[in-house]
Amino acid sequence: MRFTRDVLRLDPEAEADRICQFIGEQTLERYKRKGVVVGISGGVDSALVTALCARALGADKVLGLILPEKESSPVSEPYAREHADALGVKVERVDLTPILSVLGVYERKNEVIKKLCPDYDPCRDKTKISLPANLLHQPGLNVFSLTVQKPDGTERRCRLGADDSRRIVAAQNMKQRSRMIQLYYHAERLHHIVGGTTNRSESEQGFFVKHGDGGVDIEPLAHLYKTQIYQLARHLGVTENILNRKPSPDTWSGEVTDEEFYFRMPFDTLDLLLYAWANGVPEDEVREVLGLRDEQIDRAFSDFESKKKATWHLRVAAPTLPM
Amino acid sequence: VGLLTVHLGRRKRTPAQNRRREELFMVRERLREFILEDFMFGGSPEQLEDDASLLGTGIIDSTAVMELVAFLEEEFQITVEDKELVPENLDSVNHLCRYLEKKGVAASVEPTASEVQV
Repeated sequence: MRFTRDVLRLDPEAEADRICQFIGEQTLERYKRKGVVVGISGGVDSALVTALCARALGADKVLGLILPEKESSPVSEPYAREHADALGVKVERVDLTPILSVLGVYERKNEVIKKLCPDYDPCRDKTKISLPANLLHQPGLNVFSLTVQKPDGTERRCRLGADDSRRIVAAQNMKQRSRMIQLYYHAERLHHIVGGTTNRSESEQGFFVKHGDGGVDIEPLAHLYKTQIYQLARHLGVTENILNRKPSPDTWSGEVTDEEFYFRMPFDTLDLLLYAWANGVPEDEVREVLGLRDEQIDRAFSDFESKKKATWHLRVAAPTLPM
Repeated sequence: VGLLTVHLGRRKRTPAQNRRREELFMVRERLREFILEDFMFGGSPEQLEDDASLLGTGIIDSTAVMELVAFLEEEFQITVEDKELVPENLDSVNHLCRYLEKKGVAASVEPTASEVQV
């Protein structure tokens, strides 16, 4: 297929039908379950999966689970509810804050932050971690920085060392893993399966938590890039609030987008570059279509390769020995 | 370090230059030793090519880069600035050697075409 800016354009109705058939076959015929539980975050991926499941199985066969915690964005829950209500999907809510507190998630994370920023006040200050800005414009390696935002708007930013970075990420990943536990509780009690919401941009680059948001029964969106998710979501009537919201991991008290947190470029460019990289599109075609310089393309492709290599273990089942 | 160098048609080095050269080989070997032990878990030296991308070959990930930075700062008593966290400085043994040279620790010590290791 010729590489153009429209290479990822979908026939949304046909694609929705294909995914609905997959959801129906997997849920009813393969798993032999009655419906699907989806963790709804107020983001576009989970909104789309909910809409597709409702279309495939009927709204009464879908449960939307809202799993907020004290560091979730205040708009996540209302956005998730608004969309579920529009679909006629039943919603349940479990506040994860007490569970995460008992697991020591906040304490472990705050301990590291406090060591780096002694004046950090967990009750008032907001925090986030992020990578250096746009990879196409600056060549820096993917080293996390911690930002502490004071109530007066001032910010303090510091580079995270390997040990601190690993401790923070390990603590934060308990959030996604706690969500997974709740999703499976409700799926088992209802004789449902758990529907995953990871898209191809995330899956290929390792932007999900193993046994967290990666711990699901089906992945109906894992073949679609993020920009394709938006095409389908718009077609299926996902609410404007969700469509206009910038994608975010929503696990930090400070606002941080997926682009700042992991991908380091806007999704419209990222997805086309990911497609070109995965399909071996010649570099001169990429340069011409995207208007990028060779060194920018090389930098992006090297970053994709590094992230794919570094996260291979997320995408495989635990190895076993033959008998 | 166990490496002898045969010079073909080149001016003979002074003893001071030879000493410096030995030190530089030791810096390279120390880097290799750290990478082999900490990131390749005792892999054989042949598995670590000096010009291979450490990130691209999956030897290190972005978090391990900071482990490498901590090693450089402690071992060679330097400060790695944020703006220096780029592949051109840190993404291979050769890049690391050149970077350390720029930081005043070691000169680039890749064998030249006129030198043969025996």
